[in-house]
Amino acid sequence: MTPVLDLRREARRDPLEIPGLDAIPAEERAAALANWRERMVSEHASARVFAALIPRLMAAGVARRHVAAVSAMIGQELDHAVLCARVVVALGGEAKLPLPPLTAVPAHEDAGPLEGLLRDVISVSCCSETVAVALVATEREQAGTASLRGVLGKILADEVKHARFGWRLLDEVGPTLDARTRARLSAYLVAVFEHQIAFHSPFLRLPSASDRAVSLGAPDGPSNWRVFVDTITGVTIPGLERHGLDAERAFRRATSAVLAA
Amino acid sequence: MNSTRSIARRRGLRMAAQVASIAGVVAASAALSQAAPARPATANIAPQEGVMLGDEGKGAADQLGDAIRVRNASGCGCSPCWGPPAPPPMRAELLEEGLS
Ligand SMILES: [Fe+2]
Ligand SMILES: [Fe+2]
Repeated sequence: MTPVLDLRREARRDPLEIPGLDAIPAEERAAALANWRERMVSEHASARVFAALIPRLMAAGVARRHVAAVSAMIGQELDHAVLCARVVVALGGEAKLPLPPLTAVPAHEDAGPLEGLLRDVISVSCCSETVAVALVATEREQAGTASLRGVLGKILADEVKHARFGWRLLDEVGPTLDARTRARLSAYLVAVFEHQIAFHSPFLRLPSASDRAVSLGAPDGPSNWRVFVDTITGVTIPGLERHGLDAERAFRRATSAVLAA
Repeated sequence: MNSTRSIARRRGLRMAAQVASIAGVVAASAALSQAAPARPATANIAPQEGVMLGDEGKGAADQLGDAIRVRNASGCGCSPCWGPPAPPPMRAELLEEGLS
């Protein structure tokens, strides 16, 4: 049986108002609503990814403050789902949906505790959450009402913490890594970039959206794709290279099959 | 794509760069993209330059996007969300290749 996420009660407790909705065409409202519904379940489901990091952080023996920070992130993702649910209800939708497939976080049995942890942190913080910062910040710039801007601002403040955590951890442990571990992590980056491209490529199948639709949270496929590629190539790759990882080569390897076709 | 969206994207990217403490890199790259003529970027990104951020020419996003579109035309029509997915597993051949 597919698990269902029901946030109707949580959303009702603190209703959100989005003024001027009547003036927005139904199909644009529907595009925004569909996106906020998907966000609601994806934010909720992402709490399990941070939960899986806790035993890894402990096994790698990192400072307590990192364990505490990541355990707070579990709750923050659950709160983001409620924020999204409030927007769903304000847009006339129902905050009750089946959860997406809950893919397990890999065990990384071929790697030691620190290397396994860094694999996860690079994928989650240095890629996914860094891209999320760029996407949410871009959308907040275009938000049409103070209430939506407020929701996006709250989510953004947390996504900044989720991304920064990974970059800080790399700053801290990066200098202690030997050449072999750097080479092994650089090899893993190929899988990470392939995964990031596959995860974000649905943007390419989405049409462009009007300013009015984007101001409510409808996705603009071409613009979001560009944010993704610019963030990976302009932020993540140079950031990882700074730590002695061969991110540029890994990205070239990850994209070569696609570009050669 | 319109300039409001370009400005929003640029601010979003700048914020991501600040988080990763590489604001200087993106600022330099933004200045470069305004000054320099269009050039291909995906296959030869210099890490200290980043990629073109302007709307002119075919940058990394367009090249890669075109290639993926050709290979993978169908889909669910859903938009990728912000919540981080589970990281991918390692593939043995990548390790062999990387360490050889
Ligand atoms: Fe989130
Ligand atoms: Fe997050």
